Amino acid sequence: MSIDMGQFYQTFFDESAERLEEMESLLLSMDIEAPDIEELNAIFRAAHSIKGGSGTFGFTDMTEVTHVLENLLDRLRKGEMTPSEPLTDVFLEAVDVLKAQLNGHIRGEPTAPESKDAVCRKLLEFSETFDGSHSSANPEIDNDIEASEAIYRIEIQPAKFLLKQPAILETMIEELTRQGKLETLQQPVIKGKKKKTDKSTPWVFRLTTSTSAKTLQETLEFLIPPKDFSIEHVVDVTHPAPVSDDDLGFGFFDDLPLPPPDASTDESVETVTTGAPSAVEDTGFGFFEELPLVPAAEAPASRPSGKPKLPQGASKTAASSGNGDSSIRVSVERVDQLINLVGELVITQAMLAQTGAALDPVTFERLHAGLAQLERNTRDLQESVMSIRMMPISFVFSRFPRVVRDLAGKLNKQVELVTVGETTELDKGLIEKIADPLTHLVRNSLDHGIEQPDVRIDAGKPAKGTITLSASHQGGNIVIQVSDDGGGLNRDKILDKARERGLAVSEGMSDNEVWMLIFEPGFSTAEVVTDVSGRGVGMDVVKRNITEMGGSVGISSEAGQGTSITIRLPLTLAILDGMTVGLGDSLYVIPLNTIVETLQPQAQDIKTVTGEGRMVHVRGEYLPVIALHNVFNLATDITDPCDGVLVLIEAEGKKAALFVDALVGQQQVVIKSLETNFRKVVGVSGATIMGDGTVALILDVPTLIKLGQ
Amino acid sequence: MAKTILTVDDSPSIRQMVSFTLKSAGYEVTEAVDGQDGLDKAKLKSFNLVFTDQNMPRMDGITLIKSLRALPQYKATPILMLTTEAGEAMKTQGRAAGATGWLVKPFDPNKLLEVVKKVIG
Repeated sequence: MSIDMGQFYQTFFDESAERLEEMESLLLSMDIEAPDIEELNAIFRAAHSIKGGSGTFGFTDMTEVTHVLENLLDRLRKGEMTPSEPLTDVFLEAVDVLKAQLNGHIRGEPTAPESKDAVCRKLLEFSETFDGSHSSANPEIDNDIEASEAIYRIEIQPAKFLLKQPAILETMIEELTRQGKLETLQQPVIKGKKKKTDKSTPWVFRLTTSTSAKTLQETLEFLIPPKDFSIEHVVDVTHPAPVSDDDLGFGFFDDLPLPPPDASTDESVETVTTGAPSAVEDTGFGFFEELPLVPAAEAPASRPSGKPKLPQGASKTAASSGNGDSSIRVSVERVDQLINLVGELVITQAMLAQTGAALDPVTFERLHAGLAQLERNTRDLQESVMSIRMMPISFVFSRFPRVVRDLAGKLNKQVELVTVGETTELDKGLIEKIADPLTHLVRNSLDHGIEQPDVRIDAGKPAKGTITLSASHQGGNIVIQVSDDGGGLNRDKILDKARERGLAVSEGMSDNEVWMLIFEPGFSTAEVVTDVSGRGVGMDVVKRNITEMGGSVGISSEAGQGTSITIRLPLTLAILDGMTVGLGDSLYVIPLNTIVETLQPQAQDIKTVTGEGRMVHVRGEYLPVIALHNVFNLATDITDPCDGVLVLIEAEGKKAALFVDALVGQQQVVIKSLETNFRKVVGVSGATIMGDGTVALILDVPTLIKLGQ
Repeated sequence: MAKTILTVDDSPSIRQMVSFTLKSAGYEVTEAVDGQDGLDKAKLKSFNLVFTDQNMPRMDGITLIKSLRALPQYKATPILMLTTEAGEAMKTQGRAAGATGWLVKPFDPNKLLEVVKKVIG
């Protein structure tokens, strides 16, 4: 039968990627001084599993690496080697190589063998260092399969003492079995009524072993006088490499009564044997014990006759639980399709609700009840579907122990990474997008934030710095914070740099405004540009990425105490809590998380500043008034802010008052991309379909605030 | 009635491959994710053949084989170890635990079927 292995590749890829992540995090958390045996076992199993899979599915480059890795890990968990920092480094390097190889296979472009060979060499060096003198110069082969074996033919004469004491023979057979693969080719025939043994036929065994003839000789001499036996060297066997195609790769341990056709063939070939034909042995499988075929054949036959119903019921439960895993893998596209469909359903439901609201509640009581239930069910359905896309942020956080470890080593700094709230869930799309900006921030904290150990000690702080990564839910947002206990931002340095770069700054700026300068394009305060972070590109990209996700960044810093960067993100990209506002005939949606308050201003609060338009005075603050009808060039009857509503919006630490005609209501809206369906429009981040089927644009608050300045 | 096989492996891809191969040859296959799961499933129902991996979380293959052999209904059931190790140590352990034979990973589906046919026809 030919089976297309390609169908299993995806499972293998997913599985291996997970295993590699697991290995990496376990390696990072491993206590070098006193490694947890369970953790070592888990790392070993991961390597082992990838090795088995990659070999089976033909990704042999990965097999090679995992093979060497596995051997080292095995010795580590058996206590034959002691873990060390450099060893962990090489292990991590091997994991990196494996990741690269895996990604290569996923893309269908196998990676070049150099890195693989290099890491294998390094791993082997370690095992050699620990080996000392003998044998395992090539542990690769040693541990799994003997490099070379020989086949010996052993003949034993049926001397009297042997026949009288079968125990000796048994001991001998046991001893030989320990040495290698033992096959009985011939044994003395028992004849006649008195069961007399025919002394003319000796026992003949074939032993495949790596043990030398000399050792065998010595072993047997313990039990049998040398004259009664002979050992003949038949042939050398070199086992194929474990991965080789020639390896038949299975075996049975002992005599196996085979199905009739095979058995008869065997008899014709091997005269007096007990049935373990060499042909079977050579294909690499074997049996430990004599195994009658009866039970296998009997079991199904006996069951129906006994209690026919029970086994069937039992088999059903087993089959249903047999499908095993409590989770299933579904492609993201399918989930997204589901989310889209639910989005459409939400819109349809809103339309029905709007239509229904116009109908008389008494006459259409049951319709109203039904609509209310529909709304509830739709909302539950929507939440459930959205939760499918939710993933714990640990998916991103888990990469940082490695980043911090590598970087701290490079910079000669001592840093501890603390993660808080790893189980906080957010949308998969956001998880993927937040990884890069977060990495940049963590690198920055390590490079620019945490000081050298001696500087820290002088400042009265522990030599080891701490970087804290935390995530939590706050309202409809997820808040991610990267904090360090380093030196903090230097206000003067930032201001100097900003002036140098020609940015508009003044001494009177608030700290917060000064901190935000580091997010300006082309800004870097690093005294020396390192290869770690800080070429002046980066922080602005970080901010742009986060803004594109609908989020915002904030900074707080205390000289000598450290810096904390806070990222706020919407929980999901697909649904938005919004405030619907009216302007002329149109509706617009303002993301609720950007709204500070709404107010109807008094005439005396509105000031007109020459060249800068109107400002509104709110609790001691003067905020620019942005008239939405001017931004979008719309006709409206309401042109005086006192007749309309001012919505105070805030983004990126800046505030403005958005002037609209009226507030319509607060609701959840399904975000539809304007760019994919139309084109990018300045001041608009997306669109949504309202209950009555009309399209409302979702306002891009940060851009609007910029327009107002 | 189709012969039933229990395959115990913590690697989803290997499990999937073994299961698919055996199913397409007409066997009825039940999957288990580790030794403990395998033992639980084996208690629910009798199988004609058990395939087990050696290195697994919670319960390894050797322990599973020992535990199965301790059950009256698995005294004589063929149990094969799927393993990447074909060394003596493994064989001795396997034999002691009561395994019937071994199958070295990596293997291709045809080899798997060849072995299964030899054992349960």
